[in-house]
Amino acid sequence: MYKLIFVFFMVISSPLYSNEFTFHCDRYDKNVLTMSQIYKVDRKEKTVVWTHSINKRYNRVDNYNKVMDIYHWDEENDSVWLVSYKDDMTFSPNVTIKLLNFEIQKLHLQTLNNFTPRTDKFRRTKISQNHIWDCYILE
Amino acid sequence: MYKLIFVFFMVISSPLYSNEFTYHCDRDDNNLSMVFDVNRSEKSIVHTHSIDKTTNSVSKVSLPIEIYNWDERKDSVWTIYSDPQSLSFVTFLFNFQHQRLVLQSIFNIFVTEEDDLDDIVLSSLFKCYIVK
Repeated sequence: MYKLIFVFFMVISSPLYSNEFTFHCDRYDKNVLTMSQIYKVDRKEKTVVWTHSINKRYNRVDNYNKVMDIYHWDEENDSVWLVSYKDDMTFSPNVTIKLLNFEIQKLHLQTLNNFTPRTDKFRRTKISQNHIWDCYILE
Repeated sequence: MYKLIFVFFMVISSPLYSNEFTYHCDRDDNNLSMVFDVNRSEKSIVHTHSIDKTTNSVSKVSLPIEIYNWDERKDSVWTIYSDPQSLSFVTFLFNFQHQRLVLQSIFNIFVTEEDDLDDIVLSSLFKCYIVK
């Protein structure tokens, strides 16, 4: 009987039943790991907190603890769309869209800068950046 | 004196003083145009028409666009639009100062190779003009 209760509590408290997890994402540039971003995700509360950013080139860890604005929580596809705006006067204002897909364990990060060209040449890399990151779930 | 008053009213009511205008944008490949009604004082943008130049077809849209950020300093507007059915997310950047529109979308479809990123990201630049 005690064994049964013990097993029951073990299952209940196991990560399989947890809606909270750490989503760790790595960015590779030409097969070299350059950046990592870490998020605390709570599916039940529908919150995403960006906790850390790790710059592998300079071995630097930045602590953020930034609660992200959720634009859309797509339960069907186990994905979240995050949108943020930045205008710190040092660079062109930009909007960043992050698509976290927990099912496929990927992050798509897209930044769109207000750097519209006056000339005909569309310098795509100046205006927008797109990167797909490989992620894993730590429960 | 009457002439002066007349000129004054003409200037006041001229389009130069209007916050409402039509923003007509042509994609850089000249295959697509999009038309928007912009109201700066109400801070609203309505997508009114799309013109497909390849088929010479005009679609009436009349779709109010969700404003994400109205940047008065840069005379620019960021709008966002998501379509749950196609799993896509579209960002428009209207720059009225430079008379440009940038459209960018993401699809919630992932690929393994970085080279195929163009399949899931659509990005277009439009040249625009203001019609008052």
